[in-house]
Amino acid sequence: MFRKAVSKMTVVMLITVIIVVAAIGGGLYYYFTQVFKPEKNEILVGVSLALTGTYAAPSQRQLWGFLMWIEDVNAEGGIYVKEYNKKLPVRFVYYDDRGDSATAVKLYERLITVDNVDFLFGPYGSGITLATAPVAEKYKKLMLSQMAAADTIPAQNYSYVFTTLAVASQFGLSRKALLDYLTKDLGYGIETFGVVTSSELYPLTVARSTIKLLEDAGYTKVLYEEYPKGLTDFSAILTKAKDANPDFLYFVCYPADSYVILRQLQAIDYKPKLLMFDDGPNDPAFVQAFGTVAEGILTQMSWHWEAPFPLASNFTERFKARYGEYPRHWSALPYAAGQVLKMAIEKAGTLDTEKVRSVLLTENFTSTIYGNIKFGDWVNPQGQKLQQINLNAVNFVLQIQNGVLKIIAPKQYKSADPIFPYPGW
Amino acid sequence: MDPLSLFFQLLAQAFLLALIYTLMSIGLNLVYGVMKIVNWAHGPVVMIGAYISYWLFTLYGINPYMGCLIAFLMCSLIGYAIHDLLLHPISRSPQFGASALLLTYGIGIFIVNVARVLWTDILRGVNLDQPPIKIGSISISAPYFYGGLIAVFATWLLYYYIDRTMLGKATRAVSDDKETSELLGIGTKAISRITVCVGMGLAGVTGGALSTIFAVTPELGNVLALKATTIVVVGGLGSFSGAFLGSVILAFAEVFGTYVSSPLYQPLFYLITLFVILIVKPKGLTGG
Amino acid sequence: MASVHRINLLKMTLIWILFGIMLALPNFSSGYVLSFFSLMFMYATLAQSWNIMSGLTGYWSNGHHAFFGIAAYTLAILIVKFNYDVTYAFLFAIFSSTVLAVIIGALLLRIRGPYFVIGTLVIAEMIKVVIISQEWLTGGGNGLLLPPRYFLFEFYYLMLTMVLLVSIAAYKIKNSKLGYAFLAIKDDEDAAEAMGINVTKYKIVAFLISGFFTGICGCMWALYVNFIDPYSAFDPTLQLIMAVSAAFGGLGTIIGPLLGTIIYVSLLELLWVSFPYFYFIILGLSLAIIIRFLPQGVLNYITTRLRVKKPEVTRNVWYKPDSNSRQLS
Repeated sequence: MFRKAVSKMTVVMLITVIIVVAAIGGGLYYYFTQVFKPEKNEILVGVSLALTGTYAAPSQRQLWGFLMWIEDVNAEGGIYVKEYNKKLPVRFVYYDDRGDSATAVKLYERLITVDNVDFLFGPYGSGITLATAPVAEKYKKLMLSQMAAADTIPAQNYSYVFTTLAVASQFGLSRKALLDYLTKDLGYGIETFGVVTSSELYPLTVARSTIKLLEDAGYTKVLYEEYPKGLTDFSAILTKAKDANPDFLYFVCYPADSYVILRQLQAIDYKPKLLMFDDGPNDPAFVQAFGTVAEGILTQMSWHWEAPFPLASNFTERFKARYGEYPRHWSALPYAAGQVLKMAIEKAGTLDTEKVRSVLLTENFTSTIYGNIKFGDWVNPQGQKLQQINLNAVNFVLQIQNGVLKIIAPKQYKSADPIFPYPGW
Repeated sequence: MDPLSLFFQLLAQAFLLALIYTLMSIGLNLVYGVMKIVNWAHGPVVMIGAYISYWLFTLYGINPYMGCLIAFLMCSLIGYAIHDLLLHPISRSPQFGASALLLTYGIGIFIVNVARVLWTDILRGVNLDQPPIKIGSISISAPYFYGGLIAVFATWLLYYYIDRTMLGKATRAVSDDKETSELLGIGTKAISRITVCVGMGLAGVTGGALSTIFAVTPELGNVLALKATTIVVVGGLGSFSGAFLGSVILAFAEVFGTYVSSPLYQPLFYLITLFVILIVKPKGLTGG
Repeated sequence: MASVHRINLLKMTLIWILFGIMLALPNFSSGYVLSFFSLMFMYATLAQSWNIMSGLTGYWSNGHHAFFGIAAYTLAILIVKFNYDVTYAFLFAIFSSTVLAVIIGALLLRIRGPYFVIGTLVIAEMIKVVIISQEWLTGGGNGLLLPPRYFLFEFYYLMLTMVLLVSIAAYKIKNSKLGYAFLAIKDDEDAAEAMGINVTKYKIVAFLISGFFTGICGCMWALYVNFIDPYSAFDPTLQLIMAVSAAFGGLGTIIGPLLGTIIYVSLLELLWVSFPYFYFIILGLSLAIIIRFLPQGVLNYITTRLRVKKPEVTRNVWYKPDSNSRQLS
């Protein structure tokens, strides 16, 4: 009987040891980070990205954007902080949340309570941002949201979250601009449009606000379909679309979906006059995957290397030399967010959150690679009040021409004339 | 489009889709039939097959349908490794089914993430510039069509193998009663090994065919594998005719069901169908 | 209750010390450590509750994330759309997941083995699709945003409590008539029925208990992440973690799911910190290799090979080859 007790005990002890060690480890962390504070000699910024999982490719590119910014800043010696009367280098801490909200919450806790970051950047995806924003709010840490576009986030009255990229409801402005340009300026009579969207927070916001804008402007909606994420066969939806035959067919979808949809469009031999995919054609390998069929397809990005933003071309050249492809908005927007942070810290002269925050609220940040960034409040087409968004944010409609993405709307930014109609196959 | 043509258009699409699903499921079915396990590495190996086909096409200009053959060979090797190193050693343990599930799941994660590190998540595709095939007012996707042909060819080959060759006969024996087969002197280890090789090889072929249809990314296998597993089970595990029937039902439910209602309900059509089948026939379409 | 296990005093003391440490943890550790443990407790609870059904009765359910999601959604809908108080919403949510479990159990009565596995999966998918499509009620793909709250401390204590509760429940069930009925079903359902055990009743009860605990976790999770959508609430990865942890630790045992979760979650965290990109590769490979050498689960290995204690009689018959298989045709 004693032998039996000892044996069971061994197992229990094993478990106990593991847990105690972990607890002690946690305790030590706590001590060294909260209690024993070393002198400030660097600025810590942190983020959690979905580096593995479905959003790995865009997240990877975000990481590249951040890394370039960190290098550029540190190449100059760091950010000058008047309070310390010197330049402080920036250290970048990043984690992988695998696209899971609960993991992201845990990681932001880690960034704040263990790594003691001074500033945060936003995670990838609106859902995850909604989950992690309360953590930033609780600890009063500024979070610059560079890649989460759903309107719901700025509608939540978060004091410490600032959105740098265009919000979903701003996207519709450039679609409308495109159609207006084609109809009024170039004389092509665009009258009808159709929208197919994935049923998820950010795509739905983009789709619905675009529809509202277009309908208010006089265009007729002839098709609207929502599909659950993960659908692999679009033939029925596309057959319906072919029947409705809108002048402008717009898919708010995932990159992988666009591949299947385009192939199935070919299958039913349907060439809409204007064909747009929010994501897919902006992926570097799209042109190679589709060849001549890719010519004339529309897509979007909240940034483009041919946009007239200061230093954008310099950034593009260096990025291309380093990573071998043109930078997408996934890389440029983090870089721009970093630029904003640097300028805000310099203007505030301190790392104190409240002071930097008031600078963010009042300052007009010129010469970022995303143009002039100014944070403020805006009411979206659905009537929601959005706080602390980038009022100057713009989203471009792009078109593949000769295998290269060109800006074609809004027309004041265009880098090429639109090809109309879509040549197809 | 007039209703009759529309009907045939949808019919053609559904049928081709069914063939694609069948192609995905024969490898799974084969492995289950002989080893009695659900192979969760099937999806990832499909993805590997797609990448093999893609790289052969991109780097050497090899037609992806030829690439399918090479994918078959290379993926069989993967199957060989999985069987001999991992599956066979635990095949006698009491909860082999559950263990094999976990093990192949682990290998699947391994394969997907190796692919991710090697080739990143950039979406790739094989572009053959094939115009749609037109029959009257109906147009059919060329990649789907050739994929369907491969499905038919592969199924026929497999049928021939199982039904007409000695090896196939031995395979059937092992699938029916492993212990007795061993007693009769059939090398069950060899049979299992060959089966896993062929099963994984078929997964590779599927990947090759799909590289012209779907975006080639490390995630390629996962979504489709789930559907394939569902089809295989509902069709009746180990039954090829059941899997084909299941594929047809699934594809038709998907295509026609969606057309008459919103795509939001699209998955429900095939899910409810499968569920009803299971309730009415608890051992699958061809079981019991 | 014919409980014959006598708890040794030493073991009890150790358990109390452990419990004490866990209780006091929030006082001296960071938010991160608490998050880590909270999630680990949640996964352990899920694994244990899954184990109560699948480990004991042998019916491998692949759709448990349905109970998780339904509870999360009921809670969220009641709070957001109908302005319910959290407590009432919570009670209703658990009720809903339990009822769902009973319904699913009833529907799947005649189905066994791998067919059962797929059946549960199909049901879970159906529920998810319905939720996506009914935007008027569930917010559809938009998801639901709960009033943001910082929930960490409550989450931690609640999950700690849950892990204990569910483990105690599992222990009591296993050593009761209920448990013996479950094991009899796992061993040979037809024989059990022939001997007069009401198999139907017990299968449904298994679902009920399991769904109850899983639902509680779903509610807590919703409150922790504040924003839920159909894809995260019905994430099949959750189901996978449940099953992998439990099977890996040792199906049908009490400590098994706990051990499995601790190892799995710790391994994941350890790897991810050291090898940000390669951890999944290492994780997948480790899982495969460990199963290759310890196919019956870690606990079983410890008890049998290391001869720690007398092995449990767990003839885990996941399905029976002779009745469910088909000849290749």
